[in-house]
Amino acid sequence: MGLSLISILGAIYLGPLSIPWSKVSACLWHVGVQNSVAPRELCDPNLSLIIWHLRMPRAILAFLVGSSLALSGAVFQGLLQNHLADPFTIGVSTGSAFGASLAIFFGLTSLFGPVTLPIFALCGAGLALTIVLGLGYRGGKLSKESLVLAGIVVATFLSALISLLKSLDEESVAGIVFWIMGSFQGRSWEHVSIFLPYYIPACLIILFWARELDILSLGDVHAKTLGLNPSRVRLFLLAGASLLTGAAVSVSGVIGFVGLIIPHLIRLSIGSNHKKLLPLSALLGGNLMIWADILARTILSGGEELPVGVLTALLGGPFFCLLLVKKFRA
Amino acid sequence: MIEVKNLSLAYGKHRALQDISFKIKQGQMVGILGPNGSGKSTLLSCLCGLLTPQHGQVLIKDQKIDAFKSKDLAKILTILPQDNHPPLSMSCFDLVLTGRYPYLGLLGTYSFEDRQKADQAMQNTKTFSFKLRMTAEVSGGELQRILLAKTIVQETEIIFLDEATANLDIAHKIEVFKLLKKLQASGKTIVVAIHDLNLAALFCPHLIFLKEGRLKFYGPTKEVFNQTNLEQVYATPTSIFRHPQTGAPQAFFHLP
Repeated sequence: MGLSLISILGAIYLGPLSIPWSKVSACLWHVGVQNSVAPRELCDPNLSLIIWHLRMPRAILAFLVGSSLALSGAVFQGLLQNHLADPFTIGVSTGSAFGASLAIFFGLTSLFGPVTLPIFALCGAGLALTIVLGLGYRGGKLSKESLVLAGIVVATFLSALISLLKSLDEESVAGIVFWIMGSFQGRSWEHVSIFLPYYIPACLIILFWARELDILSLGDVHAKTLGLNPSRVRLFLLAGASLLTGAAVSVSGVIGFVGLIIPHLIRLSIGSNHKKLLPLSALLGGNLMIWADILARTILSGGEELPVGVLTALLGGPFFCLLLVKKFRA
Repeated sequence: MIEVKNLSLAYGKHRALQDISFKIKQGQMVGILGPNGSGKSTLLSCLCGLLTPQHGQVLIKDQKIDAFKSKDLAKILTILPQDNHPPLSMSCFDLVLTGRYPYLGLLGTYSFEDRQKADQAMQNTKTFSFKLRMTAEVSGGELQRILLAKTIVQETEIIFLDEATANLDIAHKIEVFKLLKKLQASGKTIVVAIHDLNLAALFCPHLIFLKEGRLKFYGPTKEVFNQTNLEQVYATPTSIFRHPQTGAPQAFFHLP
């Protein structure tokens, strides 16, 4: 928790425009704690604006998205008992990206103001989840094999549709591509506020079922002999994790590798007890995302930003290879 | 304790179980024997409610098995299945502790008592010395005994075991069966599906023979474990001898 605060402070302090610590702290103190305007000589209104309306929401959103992706990654890996599963396996994020692409394609990007794309993206995620569940139910049971298959089919089909949209309209290609490559550029309190109503209940659902996830990972027969209905638990956890993923993608675009790697890292150090694995994954994921975002907006000297999704994939790929090599050696 | 009435189950066209009826009293230890594909595992799955038969019914304590709430049933009976793939990065102790899941309260945390019981079960199955190792780091036989500890710690009145000793060495096989006898002596009802005829005859006072999904023989071991029955079920020439210590019937098979 303390670490997260430090990360958020770091995210406020570090950026293309350097703001001295004294001014950051003065601004935070006067506006945040005393609820007044900071004296001009300590921190001028422009800086205050940058701190409160650019960097702060961005850092918080990065934390929320990072923790969502890591948390839902851990859930998917436990739920599908597949170490290669991540928030994108089940097709929900592709659905989300499809929703947003559709909006960009038809030029509806400002239908409901700045939150239009997230709304479309959420609808897309819901649609994808419905299809996956529809395909995944066999004989009244929700088995992990059929879920993985249905997820892959839906993800592949929807990404084909996105490609189709891109090829149909040259103009919207840039918009779609940019949106799909995850980034926190220009995200504001509005994005935080559409994300939070999904984040909090979904996290609660998932953490509430942590013990059941342990039981489920023993296999369906063991789960049943212990008095647990595997299909029901799977449905709840799937809904919670998909909600998180869909909402995260809807505000930030697709940011890969976080959901895959973070749970692996935690599992390597503390084992697969989900009561510990889930909250720790969320914390580490959130913190890592804040720092990835700091890096993404400061790494290029000219003040341009790198999409953070590109950065996590660039760093995550080699890191994952290292992890694999190490595991095989051991 | 357990009553089976006219049980039939088919997988598609294949009739796995046909018109099976029997009763098992409380405190009995029964071995289910039969060749491959005779329906042993399917029968066990029906007995513990994992499979629903197309015809007939299973009564547990005079109540239909599907009338129980799943959490209540988990306090009455449990099964140690044949195929087990626990997660590799789970500690052995955590695996045993999952046996206490049916007793968890709303908060979902295992109590001190739960942990003590898990320790005790690990001592009884001689697995305590590696309780903190990951399941990936123990041998197949060790894992099997850990799973047995998990089954015991669930503290059910009825315990089903499907080939629980198949991959154990003879010393550990005997160890496990002695432990099962102890559980039986404390009033538990135990049903084991097993391939090892002589081990079954040595430890199970009652035997059920299945063949091609039908119940062939059921009775006290001394009566049903004989040459004609075995030859009929297994289609292999057999001689019966007595165990030098206990007098239990033991089978030897003739080479063709």
